Amino acid sequence: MATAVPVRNPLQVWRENAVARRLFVLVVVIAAFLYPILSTDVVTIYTATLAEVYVLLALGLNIVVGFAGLLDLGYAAFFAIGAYVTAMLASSRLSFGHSNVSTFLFSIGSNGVHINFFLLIPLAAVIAAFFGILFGAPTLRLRGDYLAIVTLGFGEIVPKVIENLGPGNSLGLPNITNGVNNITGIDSPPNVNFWFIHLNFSGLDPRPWYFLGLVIIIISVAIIYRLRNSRLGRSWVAIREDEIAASHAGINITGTRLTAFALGAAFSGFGGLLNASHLGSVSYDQFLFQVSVTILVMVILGGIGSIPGVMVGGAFIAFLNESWLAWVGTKVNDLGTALHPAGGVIGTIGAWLATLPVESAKPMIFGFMLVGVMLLRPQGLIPERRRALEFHPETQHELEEEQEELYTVRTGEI
Amino acid sequence: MADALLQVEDLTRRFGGLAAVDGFDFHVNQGEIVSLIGPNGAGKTTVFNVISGIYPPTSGRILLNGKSIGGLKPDRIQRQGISRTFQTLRLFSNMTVLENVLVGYHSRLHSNLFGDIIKPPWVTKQEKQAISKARALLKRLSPRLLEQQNFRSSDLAYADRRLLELARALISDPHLVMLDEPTAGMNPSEALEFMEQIRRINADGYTLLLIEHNLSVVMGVSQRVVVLDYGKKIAEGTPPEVQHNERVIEAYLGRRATAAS
Repeated sequence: MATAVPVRNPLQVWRENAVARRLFVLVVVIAAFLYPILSTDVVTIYTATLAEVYVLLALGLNIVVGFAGLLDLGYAAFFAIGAYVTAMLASSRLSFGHSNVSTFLFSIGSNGVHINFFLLIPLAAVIAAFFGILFGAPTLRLRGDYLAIVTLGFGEIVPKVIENLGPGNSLGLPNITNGVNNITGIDSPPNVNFWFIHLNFSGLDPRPWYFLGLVIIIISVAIIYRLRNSRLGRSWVAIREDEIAASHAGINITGTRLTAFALGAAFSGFGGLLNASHLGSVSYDQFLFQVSVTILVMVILGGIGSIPGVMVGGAFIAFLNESWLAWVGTKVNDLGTALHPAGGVIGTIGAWLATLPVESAKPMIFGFMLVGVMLLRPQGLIPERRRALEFHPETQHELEEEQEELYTVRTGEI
Repeated sequence: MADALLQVEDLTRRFGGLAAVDGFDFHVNQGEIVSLIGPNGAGKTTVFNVISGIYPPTSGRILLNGKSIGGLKPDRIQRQGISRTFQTLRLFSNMTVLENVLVGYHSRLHSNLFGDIIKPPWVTKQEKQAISKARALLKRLSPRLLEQQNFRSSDLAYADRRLLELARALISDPHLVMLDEPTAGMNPSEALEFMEQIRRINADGYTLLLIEHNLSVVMGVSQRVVVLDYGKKIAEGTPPEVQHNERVIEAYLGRRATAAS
């Protein structure tokens, strides 16, 4: 071999330096907290709050797809469950009787069910996880394509069930989900006044939600990192690598997959909760198949299995979805309007561009992006090291150094 | 034998109309090295797969220390104390050498979801112990493996990968280790070295059941040999006894053409 100096890209450099890495994370977190304080651009902060929801969803799906290697095409079902749990337990939807029982943490009765928001955070996650187990238990024996098809089914069933549990449903059941009508008037979280933290959730300002989402994300990321580097995380990878060998190493395949499924669902429960309380309303058509695909695109684009990767992927797609595409659309239309008076061929193209609905080509753009990622960078933007190795064996030393660090720190010896 | 470690009684496993294993009886005593041999298609690997839980037996009993384990799932059987390796390597190729061994210790670690998230001292401590144990085992098998502990398992040399699979099976301190053709694909000197490993781990107190095609390995290490043909046991005994058994020679070489002479 020639003694060529390997070209290091900046990504590799900061990866190899633990101090730089931690410093970088700290700077990003501080910047994320300072941004809405310093910025006056409320629209972007609002979009960033939506992006936080998607980041949470991408983190959750990454557990299922990235860690445990289960292809889930109906992940939006759990998002829907999280959102509807929040909507039903924090609005006047489920009202009954003629009086109210009220305590510090909840109130139930003729005004509906209103559970304290901060109690609802774990509750939404637990209920979503319960549905994860309910759906997963009978189906997680299936593998690969078969499981993907079953999850596709869940993704279709859940919005349909919500749609059909409305007023005057043909099942003869009471109105639970308000059917095709939205559930509106979802409670805002109580205002927080603690030390220097003052969050007022009653106004139109998106900042309090942004901070709330940020805190939930930070906690989630901490939990997910710990899970990844634990006995459970190791067994997920083992199952993904070789199911038969894993089961002969004493790993209960179905149980371990079920944990991944339930945890993935729990994090989408957080996402649903944040989304429902931020928007103040939920509707069954917010959770259709396209949402499942969008979240999957986030994970694949960012780097399957990579925690920072899927966060970047989630934020990127969310901004693209909610703001950048519309911006590009108006620019294209403006260009068309400007070209139109030129006449001739250019004028015709201008007239076409002036009314071109760029935003409605979203699925096509996502499709091209996926194809592009698969051709140019199949491991994703910020790949997980294990997967990066599959494509680039020369980065072996990175994995080695990470392992060295991980296991040396833990045991204090080599 | 009432006090056999592993007792297999009248084991039958059918695939459709074919009885891959047919009324097979055998046992393994504590501390022994037993080899299962036979021509291709005799049903050796099926016996392994039934004992280790890949398929349930069609009929018959499998007892480990007197407790029935027939029909349990592989992970339950591993917990009971039987681990195995595979004829074609089945390592977790994108995991490191150390991680591969740690996965083998999974069933001996006790932690739950909250333990994994919160990491209380006892979880950290048990994880540390597992890592030191894995390192000690790697060192015992081959110092070279310990040096390569943070390599991806697929980057190891072939013989080292075989050794790593063995380490993954040994780390859980099983009562019985089943090795399915451990020297397949090795050159003669590697096979000889592996044979030495088998003797060493047996001396460390592990009981071993081998499937092996390399007869010099079989005759070199086994205390007892069980010969299988068409799913039935045709002979059993010490290596020299089996080597001179008429039926064994017949099964391997075919019937002597007495009618023609």
